[in-house]
Amino acid sequence: MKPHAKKSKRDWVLLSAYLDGDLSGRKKDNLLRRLKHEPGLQAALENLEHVKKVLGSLPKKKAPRDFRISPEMVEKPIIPSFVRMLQIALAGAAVGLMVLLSLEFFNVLPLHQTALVDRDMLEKETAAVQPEMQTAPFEEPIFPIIEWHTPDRYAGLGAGIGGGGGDGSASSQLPPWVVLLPDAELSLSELATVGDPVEKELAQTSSEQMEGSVEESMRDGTDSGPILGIRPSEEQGKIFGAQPKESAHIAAEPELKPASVLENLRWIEIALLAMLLLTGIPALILTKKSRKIQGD
Amino acid sequence: MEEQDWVRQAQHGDINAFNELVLSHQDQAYHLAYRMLHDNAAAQDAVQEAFIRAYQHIRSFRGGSFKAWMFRIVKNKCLDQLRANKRKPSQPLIATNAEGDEWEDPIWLEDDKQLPEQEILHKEVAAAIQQCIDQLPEQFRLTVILVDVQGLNYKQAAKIASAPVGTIRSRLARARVKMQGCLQHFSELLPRKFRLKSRSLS
Repeated sequence: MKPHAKKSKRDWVLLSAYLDGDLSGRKKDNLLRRLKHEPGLQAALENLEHVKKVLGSLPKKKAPRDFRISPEMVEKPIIPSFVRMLQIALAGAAVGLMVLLSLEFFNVLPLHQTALVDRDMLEKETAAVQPEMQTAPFEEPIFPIIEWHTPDRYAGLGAGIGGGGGDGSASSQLPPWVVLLPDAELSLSELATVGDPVEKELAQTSSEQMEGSVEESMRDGTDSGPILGIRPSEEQGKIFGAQPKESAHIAAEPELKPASVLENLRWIEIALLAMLLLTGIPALILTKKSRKIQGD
Repeated sequence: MEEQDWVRQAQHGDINAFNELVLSHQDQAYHLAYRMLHDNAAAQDAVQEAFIRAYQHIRSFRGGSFKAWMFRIVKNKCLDQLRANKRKPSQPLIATNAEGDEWEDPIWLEDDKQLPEQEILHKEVAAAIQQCIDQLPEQFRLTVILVDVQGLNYKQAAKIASAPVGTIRSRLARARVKMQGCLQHFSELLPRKFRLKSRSLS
């Protein structure tokens, strides 16, 4: 028995429901039993009953005017609502994106075919160029190859420093564009004074070119320079053969068109996706809100 | 003609049929809006807008109680209004007496010279009760108005409030306890039979 025990939230809910006749069965029997033994609970019930009566005694407010509607009041505006426009934009973006993605998925767009044709042409032309390069193995390339110290592949030719070679006679067996540098660090201009006249000439030419490119790379800070064997950025990825400019042209040109079209396609897809998100989220929120107002 | 027939005709675009429905529900709709908003002009606007919206969307009404459907629209309009008021709070008119103390009773604005004393007392009681209702949170206020003021059952209230019956039961109990606490401040105004026992509040 707890005559003035603090009532829990559950007690209040039970009392309130009992008051409205919403309690039945065992719950009602239990509450009636407790009400007999707990005066505090009984008082609480009486107070709730008073509150209910007080609220019920509030005078009914009559409508101060007639709320009937006229056809003018319910006329829909000619301009479609903002939500409707958002929904139309959303549907348009979704359809556009679906069409693009399905065209791409089913290879309906001629982009892949164009790319394949271009790749075949490139392979054929490369194959045509390669035998020419193979038949003239020692044909002089535009740029000389500079080898520091004695590389292993020239050791058999007696060109190594400390490998037994070294009077200069064996160096005649090396490809003419290979310039061997001694162990000591020499400047490019000094290279011009080492070796035979052909090598000197080559070294002179290459030193001028390389110094120029070193200066350029130092200016823009992109390349590490020809001494490390890395080509300047504008020459990277190009094939140099008998006709280097033409080959480079073949290698670079055909991929440009499909790549740019594909890139444009990607941008369209991204734009449609952004449009979907930008219209979809507000449309969803506003539609939900509108349904809530309508009471659906 | 029965309500369902009016509804069916209104769904086919008959505005006169819809106006029959308006006439049969406008008093209760206004009463709900007034108790929710405690503002005559705002309540009128909410009810008028609710009826217009109901007519525009009556095709989406899928049967059942038209009154519950209509009240749900009124309720939503009132909640929108309350939220808009929260965003843009207006300066309330606060009445003060000669000493500068704030008056608790808002009915001072009304001209009661012609009213008998009993009626003035009733008005004061009603104003005190309304003040307690205004202090309740929105959803509690709605529940207490629907069940205790309008006299609807839990099921109807649940439909209008778009909440489960269990939630209505719980909200109502809590709202009544809050009302009980508030009404004790006005116990002198209340008739003896309505006075509360203070010990039950623990």
